[in-house]
Amino acid sequence: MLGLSDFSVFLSYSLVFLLALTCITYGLLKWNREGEISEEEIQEEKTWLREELEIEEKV
Amino acid sequence: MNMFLLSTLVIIYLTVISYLGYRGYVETKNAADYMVGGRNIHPYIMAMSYGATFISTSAIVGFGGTAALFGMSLLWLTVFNIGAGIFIAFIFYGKKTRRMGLNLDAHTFPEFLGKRLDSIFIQRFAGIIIFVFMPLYAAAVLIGASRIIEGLLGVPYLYSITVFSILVAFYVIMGGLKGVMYTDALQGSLMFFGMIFLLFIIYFKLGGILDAHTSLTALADKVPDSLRAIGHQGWTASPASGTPLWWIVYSSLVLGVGIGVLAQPQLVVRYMTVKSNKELNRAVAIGGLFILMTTGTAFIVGALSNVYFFREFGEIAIQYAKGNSDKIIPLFIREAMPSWFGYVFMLVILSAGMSTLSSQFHTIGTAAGRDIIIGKSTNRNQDVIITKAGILVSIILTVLLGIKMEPGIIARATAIFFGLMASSFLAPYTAAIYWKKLTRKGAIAGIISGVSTAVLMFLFMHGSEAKVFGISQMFFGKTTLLGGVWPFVDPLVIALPVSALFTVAVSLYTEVENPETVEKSFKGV
Repeated sequence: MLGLSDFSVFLSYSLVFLLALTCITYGLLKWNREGEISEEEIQEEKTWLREELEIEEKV
Repeated sequence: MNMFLLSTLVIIYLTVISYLGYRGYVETKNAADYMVGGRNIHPYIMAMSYGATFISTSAIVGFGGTAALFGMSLLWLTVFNIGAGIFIAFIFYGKKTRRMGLNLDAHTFPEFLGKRLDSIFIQRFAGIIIFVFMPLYAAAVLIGASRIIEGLLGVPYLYSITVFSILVAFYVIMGGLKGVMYTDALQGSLMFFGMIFLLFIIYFKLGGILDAHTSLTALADKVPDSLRAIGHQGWTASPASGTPLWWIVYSSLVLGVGIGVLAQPQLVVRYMTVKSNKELNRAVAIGGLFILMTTGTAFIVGALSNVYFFREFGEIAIQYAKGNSDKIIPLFIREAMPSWFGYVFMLVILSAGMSTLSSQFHTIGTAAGRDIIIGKSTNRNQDVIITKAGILVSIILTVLLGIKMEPGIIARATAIFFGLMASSFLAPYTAAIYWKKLTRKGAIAGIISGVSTAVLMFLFMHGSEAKVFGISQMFFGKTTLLGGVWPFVDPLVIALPVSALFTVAVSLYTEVENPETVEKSFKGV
């Protein structure tokens, strides 16, 4: 078990790498998906951003 | 200390950071109207900046030191950091929050909850909770950075915390968070590569992965009696189940921080700043790798530092650090790493600390200026003054906490804050984005029951806090009301289910107050 005395610690050590690998695979598989946004959403985003910049000014 | 090397590095670093900060600021300003249509925030920058906010001095210095004390079982926290803090957070919370935040035109976490449920009370109450408790977490980050200066430069702690606080205050008041996109990405990248180097060096010095782990396992008989008595069984073993240490590691550190991250106000707002789900998908890949290399490395290195200290100095890490776990990682870097690495690492940690503190104070400032004082005031100057005053008060409070709090407190203070946020908001927040039948009364019941259960448990049940506040002692003549393992069970374990129960039960017995808001919120979600 990689020199680790306890199975639970060995499991966490392995899971850390496995989960990171899962994240990487997920991200790479979906690298170009769900990118399209509607015109309406763009408008909403503009309104949102204007307000956001105004808040930033105050902080 | 090599002053020439140190000052050269500092100058180069400050020049690059100032340039990037300026560039980011100009781009953000110019892009106000058209950026949303065309420009993408690169997922690398989104993930690194999320990472630089999420993983700060607290995780590396505080939790790394805790791993040196309690051992590698802390890697379960990294499992949660990646599984919950990245995968579940981005995919199951991020996407919905982003769309809903836009629908509701929400800009802060309290505002998000408030607008989703048509409740000024919720927004204000959430703002107050954040305003009151966030300084605790900010103090943990501040202490982490100051301990690094103390450990690497040998400057007394009181001086290092004072100088660093002045620097942070200056940075924040000068408008620290503006245009941080690129600086955060640089800091994140430096942290990422610095940690890879650290991981590589420690395994190299200790003779490879297998030898390093075997040597650490062999140190089990060096566990101090005080730790053995509460369940410590060696640094590569899990604490004996059901013992006080088992509860500390798994309920407070792993569960509290691991799940608590889902309801962190300063992280939730980051979902709203990305353009589409595509960026969130991509950030999952980069974020997963980033967390593995930062917290994963910090915990492995922390635990393994025991082998290094024992071989070189005949003492385990906590003995070498004279009982203060917060000092272990800085001392290890000073003793085991080349001096140039120590300096670079110090800059990385300091800037990571500054970026986290800056976003914490930003969250506190907006909590004061936008959430606690709600409503479009006609007086803009008044808004600015309230926001700035809020930030100033919280900076002062944070510094006082940083000076007053006991040694070895970083991980604990972080866990308290994360646990409190999860106890108060996780259940109502989850329901807000997934459940159309959530009612305002349900959410209020969830928030209030969660926060009050957590606070009562901190005051009367959970040993370390109950002892500090002394309220239980004053009223009942004993530090905590219940004995056995109860003083070690994290309040989150009870408070989160209580909050979830109230959120669901009260919602089921009440009618949705404003169906139009629900429709508006869920549009396109």
